[in-house]
Amino acid sequence: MVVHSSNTLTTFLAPVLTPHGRLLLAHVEDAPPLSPDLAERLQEAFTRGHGHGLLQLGAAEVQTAMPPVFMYWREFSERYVVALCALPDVDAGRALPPIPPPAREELDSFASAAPSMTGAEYLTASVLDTLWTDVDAAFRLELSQSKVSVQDFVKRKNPAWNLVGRVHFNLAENRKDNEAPFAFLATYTARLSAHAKAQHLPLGRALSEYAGAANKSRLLSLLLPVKRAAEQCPWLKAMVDSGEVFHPLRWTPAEAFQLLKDLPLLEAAGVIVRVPSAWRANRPSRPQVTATVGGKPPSGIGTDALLDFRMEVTLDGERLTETEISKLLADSNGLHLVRGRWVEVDREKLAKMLDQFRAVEKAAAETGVTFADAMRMLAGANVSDGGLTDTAALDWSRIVAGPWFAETLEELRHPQALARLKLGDELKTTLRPYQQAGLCWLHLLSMLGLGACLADDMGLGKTMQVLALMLVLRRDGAGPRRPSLLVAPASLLANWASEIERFAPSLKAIIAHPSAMPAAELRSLDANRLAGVDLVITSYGTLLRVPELLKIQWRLSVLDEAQAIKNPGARQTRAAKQIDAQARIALTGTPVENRLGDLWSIFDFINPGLLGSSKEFTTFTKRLAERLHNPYAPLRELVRPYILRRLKTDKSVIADLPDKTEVKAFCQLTRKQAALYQEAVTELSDRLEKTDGIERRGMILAFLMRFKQICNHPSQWLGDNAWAEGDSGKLARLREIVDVIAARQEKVLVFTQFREVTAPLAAFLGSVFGRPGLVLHGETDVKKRQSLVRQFQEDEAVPFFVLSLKAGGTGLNLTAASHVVHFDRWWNPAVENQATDRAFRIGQTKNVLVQKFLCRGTVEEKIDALIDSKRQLSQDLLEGATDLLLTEMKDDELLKLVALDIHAASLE
Amino acid sequence: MRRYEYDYGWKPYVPVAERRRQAAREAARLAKKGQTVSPVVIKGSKIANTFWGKAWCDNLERYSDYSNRLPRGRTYVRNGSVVDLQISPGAVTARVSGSSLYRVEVKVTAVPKTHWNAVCTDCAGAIDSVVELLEGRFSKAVMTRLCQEKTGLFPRPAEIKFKCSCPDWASMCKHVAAVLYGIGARLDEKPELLFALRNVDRQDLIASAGKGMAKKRKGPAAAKVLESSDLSEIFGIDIAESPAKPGRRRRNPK
Repeated sequence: MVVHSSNTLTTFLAPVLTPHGRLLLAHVEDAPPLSPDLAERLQEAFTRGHGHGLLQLGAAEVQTAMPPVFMYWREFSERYVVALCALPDVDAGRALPPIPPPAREELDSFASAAPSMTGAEYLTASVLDTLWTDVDAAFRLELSQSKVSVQDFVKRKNPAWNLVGRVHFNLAENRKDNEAPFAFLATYTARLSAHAKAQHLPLGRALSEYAGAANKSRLLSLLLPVKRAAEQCPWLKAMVDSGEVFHPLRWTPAEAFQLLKDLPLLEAAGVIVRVPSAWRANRPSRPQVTATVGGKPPSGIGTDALLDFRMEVTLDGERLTETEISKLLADSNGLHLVRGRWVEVDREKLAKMLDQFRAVEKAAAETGVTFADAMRMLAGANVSDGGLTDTAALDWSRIVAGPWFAETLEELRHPQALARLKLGDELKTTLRPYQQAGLCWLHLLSMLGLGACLADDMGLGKTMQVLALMLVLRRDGAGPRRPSLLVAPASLLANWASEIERFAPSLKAIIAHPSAMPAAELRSLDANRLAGVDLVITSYGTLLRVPELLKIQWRLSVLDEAQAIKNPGARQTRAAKQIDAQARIALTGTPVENRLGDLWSIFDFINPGLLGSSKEFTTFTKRLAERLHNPYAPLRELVRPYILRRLKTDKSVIADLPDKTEVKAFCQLTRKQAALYQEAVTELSDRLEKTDGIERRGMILAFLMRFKQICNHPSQWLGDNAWAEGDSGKLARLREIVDVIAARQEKVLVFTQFREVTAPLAAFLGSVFGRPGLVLHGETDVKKRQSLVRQFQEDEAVPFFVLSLKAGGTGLNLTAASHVVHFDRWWNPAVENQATDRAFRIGQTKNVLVQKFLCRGTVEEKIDALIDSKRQLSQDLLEGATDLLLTEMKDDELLKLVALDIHAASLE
Repeated sequence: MRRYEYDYGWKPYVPVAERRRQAAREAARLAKKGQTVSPVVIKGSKIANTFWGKAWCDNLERYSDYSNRLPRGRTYVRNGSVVDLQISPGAVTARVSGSSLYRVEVKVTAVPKTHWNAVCTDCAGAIDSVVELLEGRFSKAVMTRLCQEKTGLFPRPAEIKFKCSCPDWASMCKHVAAVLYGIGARLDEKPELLFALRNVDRQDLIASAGKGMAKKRKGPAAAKVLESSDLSEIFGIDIAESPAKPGRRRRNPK
């Protein structure tokens, strides 16, 4: 342990999937530790490329202990090596045939069992397909460098890979022989036949062929597995000592059962066990206790809705009679002939499962099975017992979803197939097909009283889907009308208000926030005062300070930017979880399931109890991590129906999207900004009286500039270099947006027309991303510009690029970004569009989300509205800059335009 | 445990530390003369750590005639007094540092042919030892067979002769005893030296590896063996027709 410091660093590595489907090894803060040796080997391989890294995992590390997230990738790569080994007779120097990737369905199911890791949301069948190709390329390169045969190459990577040269224990049924209905033969596969099938030699014959010193490695490959296995299994040791193992044998069911029981030991020793081909899953049939849950629609709603539960004992899907069951329970353990096939009987396990299920059946008959219980049963996740249904139980029992439950789950998983909901003309926009699907999904869950986490990419219109849902619920609502509660970060309240005004003006919404409502009124909010109100919008902070909100019974409670409650101990999280609502919705653009703790906290809000208590969940995930294959599959299965995430890059979504989505991002002024702004308005009104002509024009332009500067940040106007985050509403808004972009590993372009803002913006963004980005402005050396652009395009680690508009506006190709933020406005749509177009030139395959910052209640909002109205009149008018137009205005018009609407502007 | 070492008044008492220093000096002197020395260095409290090294030492202790000299030998070898020990076929030559530097020779007779054949057959016929031999290791299975009392490779008292250049009247002086223990320590690291010592070729062990394993001993009872003309059919596998084509060709040259 000489270089201790570097060792401790390398051991906290985890795979990270980038949005482009590149698999990297990165230092991840809370990654489970790797042994330093393994970390070193993996780092070396991944440095050569992810294909080499995966090949290292799947070919060389097959027996190495590693964290589950690595095991997932190893399992993927192992499939490639297995495919490789199944190739017929490949020698060095001969052309290697192509190794086709697994079928699409297999890749799909593999992708859906993704482990918790950074970038898991990008894991799709096509990403896996590409990875397969890259592993193949890496293998071909390494093979040609090694100059050995495929077989030797693979064996060299790990001796466990032996294409041929394996000992097989063959077990067969021999029905002609009543006394000994089984037959045993140990063989050795010495080579492949012409049909690429393994050719077996009975072990005794193989042994005499290879005996002596000439065939040492062959002889060893034959004897070693037998020796290892015999060390584990006394019955085999006796067979080896007596020489029986070298002969074809007549076996009784008891002897056959002996072998089946020790199958894992034999396989671990390197012996391949072949059982009769008629046996499914490589073992005799087992009687299974089969429970069907949710055959009929439930009574009641929510996670407490009660489902029916029915139980039977089946054999390969056939129902066994009571007589057969009691006979099985009376039989000795071992193999028995039932209905003409060999059946494995384990009285204790069968009886135990029967008892357990009968108890559930009895409880179900009395109190019913809840939706959450049923979900957990189906996923095999026994969260509240702190673990999984143990594998033994899984082998002897099976839980299937009955018709109603199966259909509901199918609908939740594939909402695009749900019948469209009619919206009428209350929603002032047309939902895109995927938004319709999202609406139906939200509607189905809220009608079931279940929680939903809508995790669509930023810009896909989560707001719209929620507003549409509220309209539908109001229209179809039966019983007493209840308002819904929406909680959002304070910086987003204005945005919600303006979206409602624009798209759902018939919704009666009020903002429950000190800026919009006197404190006394806030505290007196109750069901009576809210009669006729559809939606109450509040901030996380207000929720804490106005406990009255927690006493009202709401129809829906919606949390916007729900990652705000990812910390279960935080006060605002605890407050949010106390909201009393019939159904709960969490909106987030961050991939919450990449960190198990975050996932739990959000689910504790939307579907409390589904994932158990925090402690139970921790034990549960620990147990999951110990599973050998697809460790997190049961968890994914459990949460999948409640999470809907569409990426901008989804094929089904992108077809519905334009190249760019432009939205206005409304910001509030801080108190300091509002005061400075008001001061400027007063000053302008004084000076307007005293000036005219050219002087008036210049003065107006200067004041417009001053308003813009104040809206950006007080420090820009005051020139005090402080640039505190809390002083600017725009910075608060920018943080909300950039947090999500950072979590998604995406890139953003930020445009401003002020060069002096670029440096403070870059510093701020660097602190949010935790990594530096790039800056380009008019004074950047022209020669350096191209290299900055190349760096932004090619280096995945560069998260942002701040450009002053004039410099960035022309001639640069910045298609690596999928987000564009206009921090301030040029008031000239042509210039703005030209800048935006940097990000989606030819070559851009993703939809670009463009957010234009506007401070509410200021000249920014009014000029924006003015431009919008003119846009409808004539495109030509907009070619000129709008601010020149303003200098032509009359004094009172101008003052009206720039006046501060304090009500809209400030929310502090 | 502490022992007081007196040489019956013949020589002044030399403390242990002094002995160690003296032995080290002797070893350095020999090395300086350009001789390749191979001192016996005992690390830890035991002379031998492997079971065969221990078995060798245990075997010595069965030479009950010499029991009074053996404890001295142990002390000497622990002190590092055996400054050189070389094993060659059938012989061991060693130098031991005592009151002066003494030369010890041990001769061991070769293992009788029939005795060695029995060892080879046993090793080639048992799966554990065959696997070890194929892996080029001499460990538990093989060494257990080699260390068997009487039928193994350890010499009986009649098969071993020794002499020492010291003035001690006893045929086994403490120097000889130290060398005998030193052999045990040496075998610890290099068990294959036992073959040299007994003048046998270890390749013989592997020459017939695996032979007779299938046919030896009792084999299965006749009723247990599946008599079938078509194993492929029953087991659903492709069974190779002829395992040894070259052999067959040789038998039928025309």
